[in-house]
Amino acid sequence: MSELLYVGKRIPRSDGAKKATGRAIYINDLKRPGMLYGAILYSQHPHAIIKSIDLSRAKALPGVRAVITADDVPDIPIGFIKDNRPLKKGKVRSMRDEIAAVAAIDPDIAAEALTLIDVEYEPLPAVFTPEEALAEGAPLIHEKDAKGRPLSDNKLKLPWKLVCGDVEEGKARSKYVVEHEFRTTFVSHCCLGTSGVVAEFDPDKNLTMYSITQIPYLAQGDYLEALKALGLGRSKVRVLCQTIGGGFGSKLDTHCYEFIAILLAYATGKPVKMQFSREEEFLAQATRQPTITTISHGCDVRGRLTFRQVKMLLDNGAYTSWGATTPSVMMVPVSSLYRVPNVLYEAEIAYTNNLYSQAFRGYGNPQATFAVESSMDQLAEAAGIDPVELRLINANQPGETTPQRFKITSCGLTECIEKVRDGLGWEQHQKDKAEGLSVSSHKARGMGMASLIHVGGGARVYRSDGHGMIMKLDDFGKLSVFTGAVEIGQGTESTIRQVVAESVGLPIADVNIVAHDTDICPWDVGTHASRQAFISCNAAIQCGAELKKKLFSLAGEQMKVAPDELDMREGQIFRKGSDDEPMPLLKVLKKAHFSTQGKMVMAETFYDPPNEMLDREMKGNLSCSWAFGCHGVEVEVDTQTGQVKVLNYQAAHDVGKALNPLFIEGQIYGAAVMGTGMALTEELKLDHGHVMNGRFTDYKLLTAKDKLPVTPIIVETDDPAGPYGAKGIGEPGCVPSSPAIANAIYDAIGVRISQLPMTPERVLKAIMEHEK
Amino acid sequence: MKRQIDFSLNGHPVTAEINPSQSLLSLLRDEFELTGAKEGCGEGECGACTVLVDGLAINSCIFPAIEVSGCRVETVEGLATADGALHPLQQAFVEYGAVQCGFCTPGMVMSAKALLDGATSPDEDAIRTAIEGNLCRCTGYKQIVDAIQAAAEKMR
Amino acid sequence: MKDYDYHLPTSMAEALRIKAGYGGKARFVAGGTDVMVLKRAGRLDFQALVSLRRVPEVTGIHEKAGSILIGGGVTLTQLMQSELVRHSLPSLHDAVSVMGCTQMRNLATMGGNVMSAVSSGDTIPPLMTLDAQCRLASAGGQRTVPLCDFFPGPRHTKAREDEVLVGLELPKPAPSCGMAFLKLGRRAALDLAVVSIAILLELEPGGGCIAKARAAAGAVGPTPIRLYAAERALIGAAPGEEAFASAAQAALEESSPWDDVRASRWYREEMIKVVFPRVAWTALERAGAGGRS
Repeated sequence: MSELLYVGKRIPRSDGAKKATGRAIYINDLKRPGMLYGAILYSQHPHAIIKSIDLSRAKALPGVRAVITADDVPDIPIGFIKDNRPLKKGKVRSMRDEIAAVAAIDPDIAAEALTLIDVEYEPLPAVFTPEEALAEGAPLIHEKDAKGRPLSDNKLKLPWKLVCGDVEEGKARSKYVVEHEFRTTFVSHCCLGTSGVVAEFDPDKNLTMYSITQIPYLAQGDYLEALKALGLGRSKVRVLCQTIGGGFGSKLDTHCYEFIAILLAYATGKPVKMQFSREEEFLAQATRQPTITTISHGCDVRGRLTFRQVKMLLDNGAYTSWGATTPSVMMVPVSSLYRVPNVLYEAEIAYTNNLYSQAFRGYGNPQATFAVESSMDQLAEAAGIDPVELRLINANQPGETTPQRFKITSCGLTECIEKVRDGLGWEQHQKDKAEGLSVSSHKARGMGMASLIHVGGGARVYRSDGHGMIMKLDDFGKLSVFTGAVEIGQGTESTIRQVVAESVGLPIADVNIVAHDTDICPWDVGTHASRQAFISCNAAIQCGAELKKKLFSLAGEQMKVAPDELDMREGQIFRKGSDDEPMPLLKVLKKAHFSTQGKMVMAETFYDPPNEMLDREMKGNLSCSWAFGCHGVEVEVDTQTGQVKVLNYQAAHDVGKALNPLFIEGQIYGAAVMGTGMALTEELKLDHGHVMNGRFTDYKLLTAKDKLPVTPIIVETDDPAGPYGAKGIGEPGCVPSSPAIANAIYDAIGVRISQLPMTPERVLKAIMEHEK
Repeated sequence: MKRQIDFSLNGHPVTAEINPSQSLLSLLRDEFELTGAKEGCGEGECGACTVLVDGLAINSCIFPAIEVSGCRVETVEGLATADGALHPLQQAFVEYGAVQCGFCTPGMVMSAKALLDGATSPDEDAIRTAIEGNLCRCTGYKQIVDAIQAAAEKMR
Repeated sequence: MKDYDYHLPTSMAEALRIKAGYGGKARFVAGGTDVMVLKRAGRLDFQALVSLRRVPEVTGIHEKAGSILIGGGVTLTQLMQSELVRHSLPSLHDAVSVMGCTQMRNLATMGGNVMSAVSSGDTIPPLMTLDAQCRLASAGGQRTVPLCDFFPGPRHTKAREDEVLVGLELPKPAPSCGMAFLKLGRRAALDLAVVSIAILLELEPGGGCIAKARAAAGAVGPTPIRLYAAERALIGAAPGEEAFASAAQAALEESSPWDDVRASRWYREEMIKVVFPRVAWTALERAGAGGRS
């Protein structure tokens, strides 16, 4: 293969200049002619009956154009099990319940109008933990399900269960068994760009949504459902994606505020903008799924894993979004991280009067891996085996099929573990420990590591995992690529450009990506599951091949060469293996176009990867390829204050092929900081359903000054299904951070912290209890 | 009760009619349509609204517009030259992967500019201090620090 | 946001005159990093703001006749860059260096940090240990109130509503003083203290026992406080682990920390016991080294 010109190179992203000059338009910056500003009134109680709502004072405020409640709009069931409504009717079930909305000529008037809405509540007893919610006599949060059938308790009818092999048999064979409970809590995405949308109807009642969704085509479907309910079943919906100020999974659901914007636009006949403040973002932008996990784990005398049994209890909050489906991904590390023959996973989910949860980078994998990888270290200690050794003994290998029937093709897990071990100086550290070297009377150092497995080759979570693409060459030799991919900051558009330039054979400056418009760009299921580079670049290669077939047919005629002997590089069409003068692309195109019965060159494809949906038993090859990685951390714990400082962070990732190492490193750095935040400092605190720290002052994101010394290690295993061998990286980077740090803390102070975040207070308390 | 203020905006003398209660961020975004500076939190805790006033980086979301009367205001839109050549900082941000979603980028670039206008060889600690008030959720800061270091070298 | 008027006086007399014209319905403001945030949160209401940013009488850091005067309008950045402060008031320098972030320090002022009277205001404990006096001015004249007596309650000062904090005045510390400050927080920037402690020590000539001790803490009660009992435990004692632990215990007993979203009361109590000796050791080192950090 001749040398690659673009793939594998550190090429700066194509939208970088636009963003660095302040010219990129985010939803926050968008204005439409005649636009009104929407505002939402949220509940004042975590659980209450709405006795009355008086809108008269709000409606009378000059500048207000509409005030609506659930009584003014048709019933629009939304959410994964359709138990939610954009505006709540009759009762409120959490502090984020939307009960009324206003559209006004400016945001200040809209905000003032909210204060003029008089609501009378009758508070009801509330529950704030899943245990409380499932206890005998707990107040019923939902009286009926989506089909109107009465409910008798707060347990969701989503019995997640995975059975592989026979855990009882595995337990019987085990020489060592450990069991422990682990807890993770509410974590917020904290995208720097707050959420917003502009809904606009045209005179024919077709809807345009200026949106920040990561799922424009699925959202189209959701918006159409709303239009149907409004009697506009024949209307069209166009989704125009704005530059997005961060995704991380927060835009994978179609949110209440989006429907409310549509309802207000319908009520006023004007474009309506909803724009969240930061406080609103913390309250009403659903969080990462909290978990309570019990795990038991066993191995034989030689350290080979014999079984893994996991039981989870999940706080669903008051309504159901994607959080309730995270068990489908939590099963992935439980069944398939390392070779473990017998697996049982069960998850129970309960409604509470807390906030609800949605997709968040990793989609449950970080929470599950926290339990699995912490438990692995406990098992290593019980068995007297070095934690690195235990992992290497059980590492997944290429060519294996896991108990959940994932087909592992490329697998660089062993290499990742070894590189992290070496990068940390693991061996030397073990020697230092043996000699009893310590830093000082109140500082203790420790090392820990944790690995990950995640989907890396798409994920058939919906029936289709497909991606449509259209390519069109113009008379200037420029190629437009129409793609349903959404650029959420990860560099997808630039990556597609690199792959197109490489596979089609054009200078990259001549490749233009057209995206973010459902009217123009073909269907893609969504920018989720770390799939976009894998899927869209495979689509690009496939579409590019179609394009070249047509092009070379025309060129072959003109050059008097058989089409299959032709290839193109940097816009020059040449005969393979020959020194003949190449023909410039432009010449071929112009000649073909500007003649009788002329032709222009376009191609289209719909790429749908050869992966499988999970069957009724939750088994199947969900992804074409599997991403692996390993994080290793050295920490210093101040045993008097409980503060944890990260001294060394090694992050190794098997990415198949680094299509653009600059972007891969960016994902690894960014995800490591996000994962470390989840491990040490981030927690959205709820007290009886009230958000206590919904501001940046008290929700502690890591700053540039909290220097985290991350060393990204890129491992390439050349995946057979991936575009140029590449696999996904978007989510893996934050999956193993928490257990790596927890394991390092244990190594330093001999105390296992099993609840996130591992704040200084939590660490100190654990140290003191241990000393007793 | 509108008031008139005169100040310098990206090197040009300008006049604006403002409400005394208006923030500088609102003046820049709504009156001058310079939407580079963003509202990330509205209370000076994230830096997405950072602009320079008399060479100092400040959070424009909590800075009264009226206070820039007679001052020199610089925003990200004033960095590139008229022919479109990027400022070395902007160029470096693009080259070093310091931009992902880009929402924090204008504020981040301005904080960096304030630093580099005053210090030609900042060490890593000085760089991280200059941007400690600019939150980024995407990059993990490393490539941003690299970009600022590279720009400093170029600007020497 | 309800509209309000905004004035930019260019002298103290003008500032006081404009403010007096509003009775109690106008507020002085300097950097605005506290006032503007409180306004946005709906916790403050006023008809007008009177800015002190262009009032020359509150600027400058001067040394005069054995005293150091820090203008109320001096920004935290100016404090941080002042050689005089770094050299002679290292605990104040240390405090400012860990406050907020660069953007905040460029606007926030010495006077604002004192007048916002927040328990976790980081400049206050060091200034308390330096025997700082608050110079207040009104149309009726000037007066001085010791900083240690300035806070009758949370977010409450002894300044009258028509007074401006012109500046802080403190005696220049003897070269043999050692002073230190430590703020315990949850991250390295943009952070409010969980516990902060400042200590100033002077040893008897020729080494030996502690001749002078000042200690103050922030975020351990409704206001920043002088730790008088801790000081009494230190004075006359031989500096070292025993004296520091005993003084830390005294500091704990005179504090009244509480639970809030940043930390629990329990953790703050534990941290008083841990942080106090650490600060004392640093102050001791600096005293031994001739007062220089």
